[in-house]
Amino acid sequence: MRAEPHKFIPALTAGFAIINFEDNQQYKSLLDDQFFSFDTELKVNPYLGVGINLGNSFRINFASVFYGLRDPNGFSDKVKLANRWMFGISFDPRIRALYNNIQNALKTNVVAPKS
Amino acid sequence: MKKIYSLIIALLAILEISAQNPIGRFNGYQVTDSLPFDREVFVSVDLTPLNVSHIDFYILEAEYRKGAIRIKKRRSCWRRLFLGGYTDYFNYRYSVDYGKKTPDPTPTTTTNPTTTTTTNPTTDPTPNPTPNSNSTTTLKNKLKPYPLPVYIIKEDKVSKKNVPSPSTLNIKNEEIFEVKKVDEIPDTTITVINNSTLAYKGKIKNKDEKKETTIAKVKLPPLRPDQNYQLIYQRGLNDDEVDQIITYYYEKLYESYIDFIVNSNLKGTKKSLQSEGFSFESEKLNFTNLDSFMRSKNKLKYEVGNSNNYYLFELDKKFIHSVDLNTKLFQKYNDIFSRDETDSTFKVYLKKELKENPNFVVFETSDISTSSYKLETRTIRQLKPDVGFAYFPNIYSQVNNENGRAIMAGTIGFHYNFRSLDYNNYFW
Repeated sequence: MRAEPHKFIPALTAGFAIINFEDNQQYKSLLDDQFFSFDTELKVNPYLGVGINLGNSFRINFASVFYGLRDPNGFSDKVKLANRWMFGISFDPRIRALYNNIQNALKTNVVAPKS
Repeated sequence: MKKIYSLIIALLAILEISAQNPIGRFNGYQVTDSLPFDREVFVSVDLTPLNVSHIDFYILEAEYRKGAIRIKKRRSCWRRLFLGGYTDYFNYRYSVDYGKKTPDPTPTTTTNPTTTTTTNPTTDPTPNPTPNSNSTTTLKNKLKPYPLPVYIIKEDKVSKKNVPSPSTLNIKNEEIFEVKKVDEIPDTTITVINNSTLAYKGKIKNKDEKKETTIAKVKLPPLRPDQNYQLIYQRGLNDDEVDQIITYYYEKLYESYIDFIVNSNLKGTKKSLQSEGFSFESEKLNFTNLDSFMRSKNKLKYEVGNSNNYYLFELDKKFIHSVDLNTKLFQKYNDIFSRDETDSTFKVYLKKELKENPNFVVFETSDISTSSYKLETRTIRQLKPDVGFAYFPNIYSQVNNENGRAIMAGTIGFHYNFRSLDYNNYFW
């Protein structure tokens, strides 16, 4: 019965997905590292999507990750921009916000009734 | 690809829905003028001047209009209170010092937010306090602290012979403060004696006699000695005149666009309160027609108390009643309120879920009248950092036509909320 009309607020999400290709070497070469690349097995590719806030801190995200894709057959060195959908969960990393939210969640019976 | 397109369309539909918020709707509030989405209203309540140290809970509502912010009476208080829409109040911030404080040596007006009334058919007429409907209130005035609730005590409960001398009262702490003047009501000085019995002594400055006369010692129910109460004593009024005072007083309240729920602090049954000197004009509200009652909700103001007991009073512009809890109204909304079965005429309890709602600020004492509050807008930082984990189904299929391969990734980025989140509201 209680209405909490603002609980599921849509959000626009954007950022970078850090993909670890350590165990997938055969695919690593196929994904072009045109955005960021480190000497490690990590590739950093941008994503853009939308999220649905679950409360104040957590979101379920639906996004598209963009990456450069080489011709898997090796016929061409051209790199085309490809994308794949991802979904995941994210949260606000700010400690204070998390703390406040947790405190609010735990805030029950602020006042102990005086008898 | 069709699935992807379907997903895109679905997401666009979500965005479209979120974009359909009407102009002026902010954080769930329909305001007359548009409130920029990057601004949010905060109500700051400073309770530090209080020697009594808490409010029970209150509801403030602010309206942003033409560059100014004012506290606005919420018409749908009743609906929100009983139908559950009470979670979308404006954000507020408050500062409060928990625990008791050393009494302020120069206390200002304080209040017991319970409003109880008795009528007083007496033979000592006083000028009819005609409500001043032409009073102009500036925005500054509107932002003043709450008008104080009124006690009107039956005159037969107070008499000179009932007033003992201060020595016999074992006065430990005497505080004298001016009661807020309400135009036609004569200046009244109330002496509040904070001793174990919490005797009240009132002085009224008679216009004709031009001298103060001790008129009352009103014994109230056992209350916490660290709390102060306001007593407006008006003698010689008939029912209509009392109604006019109340009407006028609460019109003032409405003018200030304040709607609040505060602590009553009155414990006990109606019977016990009567034994303590209160009497009630009526015990029952006629809620025979719930629909019509709900339609008239904008004329009402409600107070719900804290402590062990939560009381609900219905304040009409013409009269004040205690509420008969046997009405259909309460039977219908039993999930919000529970009532004391042993005394169904007076006690109302807020259920736990409501008490736990962080929108209801519940502190340990009950006086906010001496506090000051201010309204301010702050820019909402909608763009917030974001970290998380992502799952890519079938990412490899695009690479080498394999299916069923997925990969996990960590994400670092930002998110932009299309509507503001109430950080006081919920965690999950």
